[in-house]
Amino acid sequence: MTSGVEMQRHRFSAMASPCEVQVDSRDPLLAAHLGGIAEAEAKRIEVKYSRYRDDSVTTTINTSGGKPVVLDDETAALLDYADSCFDLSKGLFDVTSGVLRRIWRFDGSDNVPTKQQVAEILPFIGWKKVAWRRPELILPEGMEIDFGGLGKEYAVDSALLKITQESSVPVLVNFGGDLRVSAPRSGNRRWRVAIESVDEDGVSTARLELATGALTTSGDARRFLLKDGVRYSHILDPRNGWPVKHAPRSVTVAAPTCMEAGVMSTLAMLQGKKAEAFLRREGIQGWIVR
Amino acid sequence: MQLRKRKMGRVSRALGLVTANLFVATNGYAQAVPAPQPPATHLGNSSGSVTDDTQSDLGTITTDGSVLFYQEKGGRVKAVEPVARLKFTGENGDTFSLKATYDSLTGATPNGATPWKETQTFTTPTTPPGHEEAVTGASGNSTIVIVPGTGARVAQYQIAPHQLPLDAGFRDRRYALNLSYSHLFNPNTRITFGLNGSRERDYRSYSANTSLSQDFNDHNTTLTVGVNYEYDQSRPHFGTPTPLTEMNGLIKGPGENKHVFSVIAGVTQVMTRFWLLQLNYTIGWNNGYQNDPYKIISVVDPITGAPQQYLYENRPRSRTRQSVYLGNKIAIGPTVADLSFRYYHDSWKVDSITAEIAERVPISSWFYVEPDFRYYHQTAASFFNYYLLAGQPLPSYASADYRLGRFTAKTIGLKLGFKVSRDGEFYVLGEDYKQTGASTVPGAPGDLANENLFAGVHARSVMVGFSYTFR
Amino acid sequence: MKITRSLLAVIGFSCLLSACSVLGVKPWDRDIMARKSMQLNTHPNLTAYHEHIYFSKEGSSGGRTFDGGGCGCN
Repeated sequence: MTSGVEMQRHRFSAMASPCEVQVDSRDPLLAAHLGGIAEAEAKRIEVKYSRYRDDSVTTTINTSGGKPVVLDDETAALLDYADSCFDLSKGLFDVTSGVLRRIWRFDGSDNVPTKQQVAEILPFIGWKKVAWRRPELILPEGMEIDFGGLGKEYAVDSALLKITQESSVPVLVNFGGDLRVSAPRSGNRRWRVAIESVDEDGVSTARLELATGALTTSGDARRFLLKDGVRYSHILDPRNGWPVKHAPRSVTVAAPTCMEAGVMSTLAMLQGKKAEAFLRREGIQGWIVR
Repeated sequence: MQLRKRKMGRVSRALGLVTANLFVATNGYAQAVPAPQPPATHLGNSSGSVTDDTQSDLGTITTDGSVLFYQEKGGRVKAVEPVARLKFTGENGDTFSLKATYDSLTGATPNGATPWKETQTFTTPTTPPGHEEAVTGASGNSTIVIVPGTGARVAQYQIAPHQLPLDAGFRDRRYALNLSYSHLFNPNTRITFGLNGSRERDYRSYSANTSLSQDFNDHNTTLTVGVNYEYDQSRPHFGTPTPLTEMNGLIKGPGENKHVFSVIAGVTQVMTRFWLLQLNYTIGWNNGYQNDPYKIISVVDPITGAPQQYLYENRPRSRTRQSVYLGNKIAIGPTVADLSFRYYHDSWKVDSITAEIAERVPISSWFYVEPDFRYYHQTAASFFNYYLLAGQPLPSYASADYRLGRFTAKTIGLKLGFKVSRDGEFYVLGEDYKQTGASTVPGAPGDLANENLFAGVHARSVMVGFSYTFR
Repeated sequence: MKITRSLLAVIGFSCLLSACSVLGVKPWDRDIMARKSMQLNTHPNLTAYHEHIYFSKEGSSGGRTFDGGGCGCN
């Protein structure tokens, strides 16, 4: 990555990931201020939506025991978004699919769940079973809402928006590999980003040049199950509860916003062997590793 | 890695819009961003083309100035009508608009009498000496005549044999102003108020209207209900003639007026991604003076057909009008088709059907053509007659005004649009409008059967305009 | 038009309205509808000229918006 006096970085940890804000300015105070804005936003969203916190909105929803929950405007907007993604992806993108982690643990072992186990958990998956009439949500007992698929990307976009409302200095916001830039660097130069992909053959790196827009990478080659010579990827199809066959090792997508990139990279993964064709058809710039 | 600009697919495009809306909702931006841009190396700026112009109207001022040049064949009515329109749209969606119209009319218009094989003479009032001025209905080809015996000053004009009697002194100037204000209570509810006033030398019209629109189903359905009240004053320059009395040069009675109340109910529905439909039902009640004070009807000899006298016409004082209108906009690739139908019926027994089709065809990013065709057919009012027969009892109502008769009309036109900049358009429309109808009626007496009784128009118009939106 | 015919029109209207809830497009599919050329009245000045001409030369009026005169032409 280029460095130099002109590029200031602000680093912190949030959402279980290393985060960084690069600010294209010589002013360290401005950089610290803008970096602080991003950090505050990342932490705010983490506290609000973390599955692991007792006081989060997610936990409130998931422990509501089938009773109606009235949601705030931001959460309502995110659920509307999730609803649209469900419609657009014809059910592939489903925020209720998190319960599958109860039976699928991708630790490289051969603990593949049985057909019976999958069949028993399927009734607890399906966005259509959720009664969402803004601002009231009724989540049937046993089901869970998981903002994990949207949270980090939403945080990047939200943090960037807050930064650009304060300053027009070009910035790059990177939360654990999901990143977005606000504008080209000064002098109309592009941001240089390295994408690392880890697989059995080692680490491969690609370098990308970005003027505007966002990048996300889906996939983790280390998460899989191997049984009877069949490799089960960790990309699960919420419609049947089983891993997608022939899913790529990783998909990197460029899009105008981080959320779009995140949704499109998830959807590309779920296309299995048709991932390349999907990205081509959608006119989305992407890079797939198999 | 090479990053090339590509055309976005359905899912990615839709996702872009949904994402933009999410940040409007969570960050309180005044307005959602329209189409998403492809990222990275290409910093595109949607300049908007003639076909894909989807820019918002919020926070803009739209101006539109145009002129109509209208000319009927046969030396009949000629009009020039400039119009200036200004519309302010606030960031919150409220609108205020102003429209000013000036209408200058000259030429000749049928007086309602039938043509005849001999010269006909028509008598109208005139101004006293020293008060000559251009008036509606009694100058032009008229000569001033002193009536022997009474000494009264009248104007008379003569119509050559076999010519459709036209009153050539038709000259008028009309000024009109329209104001309209609408307010968005919430994204789904809009209320509109309108005020109109129109004034010409012998006629004044004032109206007020209000309507309420409500959106349903994610703005796919809009229901509108509106009411309109209009008050019209007729003050013919020489007074209002007593209906069904003989045409003469006397100064006549006081002005008359009428009230109009109407209600409209309509639904606009997005049918599919490329088809928008509008269905309206209108009902209106006119009460008061609805005669044309300058129009007469010939009373002819029942054997020979020769005109014996000319009577001022008379129409009922009440009229209930209903119409059902269906309009469609259908996008077919880059073109847009406009198809509409209207069925009309009123208590005067005028029934009509109208069908229109126009097709907007973009030729390049800054130029389009739009040919159009309109078909219209109406039946005659119950009291319409080309003439009355002498010796018969007078009917309560009678009018020979061709506009209440039975006829078919066809309009054929071509519009050209030129995009001058991102926000401006220069447009020109040329049209030919022709009415056709029966030239005679069965049983027309004597030589009247050889005359062409139909007085419909054949007109050509050119409309030129320029509209510009300031952002 | 008898009152019964108008009543039928109103009933037909209401049926159309309930049918309306199944028609339409999702907000992200409104790209075509957003085009200026798809508005119902793209050139208000021209529409006004036409309504004025047809009101003056024909026996019917209105349908699209409020009818009625505004001028002494008919």
